[in-house]
Amino acid sequence: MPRIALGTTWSPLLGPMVEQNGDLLDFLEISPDVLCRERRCPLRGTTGLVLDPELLDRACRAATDTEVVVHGLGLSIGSAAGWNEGYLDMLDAFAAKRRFAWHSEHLGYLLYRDHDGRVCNAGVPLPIPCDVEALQLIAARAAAVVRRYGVPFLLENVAWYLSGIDRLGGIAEPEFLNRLCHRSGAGLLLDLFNLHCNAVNHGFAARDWLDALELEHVVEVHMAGGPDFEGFAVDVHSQVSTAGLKDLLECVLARAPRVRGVVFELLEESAGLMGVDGHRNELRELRAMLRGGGCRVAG
Amino acid sequence: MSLAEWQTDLAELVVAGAAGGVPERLPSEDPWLRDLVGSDGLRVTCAIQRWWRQQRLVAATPLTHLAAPEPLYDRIAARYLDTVAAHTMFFFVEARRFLEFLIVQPEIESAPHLPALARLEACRLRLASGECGPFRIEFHGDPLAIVAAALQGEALPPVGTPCVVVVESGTVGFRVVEHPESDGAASDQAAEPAVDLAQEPAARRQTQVEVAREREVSGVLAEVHFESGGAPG
Repeated sequence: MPRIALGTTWSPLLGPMVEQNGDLLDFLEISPDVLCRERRCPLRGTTGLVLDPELLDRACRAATDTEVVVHGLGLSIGSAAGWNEGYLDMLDAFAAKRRFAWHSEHLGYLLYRDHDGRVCNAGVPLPIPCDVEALQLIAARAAAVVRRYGVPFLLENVAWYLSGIDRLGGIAEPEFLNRLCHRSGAGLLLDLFNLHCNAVNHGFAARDWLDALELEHVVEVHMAGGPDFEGFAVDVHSQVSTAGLKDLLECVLARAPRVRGVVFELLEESAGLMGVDGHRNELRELRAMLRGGGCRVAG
Repeated sequence: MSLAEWQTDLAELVVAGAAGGVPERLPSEDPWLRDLVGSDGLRVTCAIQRWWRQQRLVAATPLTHLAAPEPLYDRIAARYLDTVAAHTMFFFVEARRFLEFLIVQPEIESAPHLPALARLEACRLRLASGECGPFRIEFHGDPLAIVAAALQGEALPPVGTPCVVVVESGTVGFRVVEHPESDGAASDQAAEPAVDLAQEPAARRQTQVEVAREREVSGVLAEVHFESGGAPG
């Protein structure tokens, strides 16, 4: 079995805390979205994403001695109205500047066309129905991303709050993910906290869900914790993971042979509340659970 | 119903719900979508969307947020979220749109210096978004003292002598170009060509005192993080 590396979220605001705990980390997970800005091109009437040189430089400096994986937010891979081409252009520019071991995206959609035909942004990633049309759309796009960057491309299971959406498309979510991986060549970023939120909110057993998932597709695992809101467990990654979630991680690691990295994912607004010591303690606990530890994600 | 139509209907439910309303056209075909209206799950999804937007506003407008009395900022932000739809996950565009909205709200006239600080922040965002500038903003008092007080969370100085500052690309801060009472220049005149004071011999452009002041202002503004980005997940 390959060893498993430990990483955490890096962003400009989390940078100082991550740096202080760098001795426990094998790699950093960076969202290029937080390093770029939207710019309107008046001639083309389009909006593009441009990496901010100063922020990009800070990210590259933070990762001088460590590996990087990319975790995207804005591709909108599930949009039937068209995904975000500008995001891919920006990711090309990032890839030219900094190599990354793999790239991941959320399995959902942000962009849609309103009833007047304008492309709009929902403002929060929304879930997709697990049906054949969505499967074909996303599998083709994921395969294109795999080819484009020549590194693994992972799709992340998302948290959803809309009761019954999992039964809409006729395909159970784990089966949908299995088929997606087979058709596209993509892997999975298994966010255990998102799974936990869905299990709690919609009354199913996370372990049953995992039993239905082909765990050999899992390349990365996200660990996190968060608060409840109005009776729902919400995927605001602002706290350390619970003992129960760590049990779930242990279960996954024992059965997922291709996991290469576990990431403690943290919302940057939470850095102050968690503190360096809280972050460090979580990294220590996770590190103790990983096979080998202290290894490279690139294998 | 196609996936595209379904996504449009769901997104419009969320966008409208986050703004405290319902879409102009309720989903008609899909029974699941129709049943979503008023459901707990939709309410939480809308609350999360609104929370993300609110977080982005605060993160991207730190100067205005610090300078504004809290109830005022929160009240205007809530009104903005109720009336202006989300168009982006990126901070700068949303923040610029919010500041433009805030500046024309009648109650900010009751908060001295807030319009000027909001304009200053909006101009910094415009420069960061690729516009060339330079931009002129009229302050009523010492700009450095006003900005420094805002950043430190202190009471803003009383209204004083009008003073025009310029923000321009290539510099972190801004420069004071004129004092209307001394040279009679109006605040809406075209700004002088942009000059990077760090590169300009002091004797040629400004007195040593003014250059020191420029550097001090740059240092103060450098404390403000004009970060960008989208919502993590």
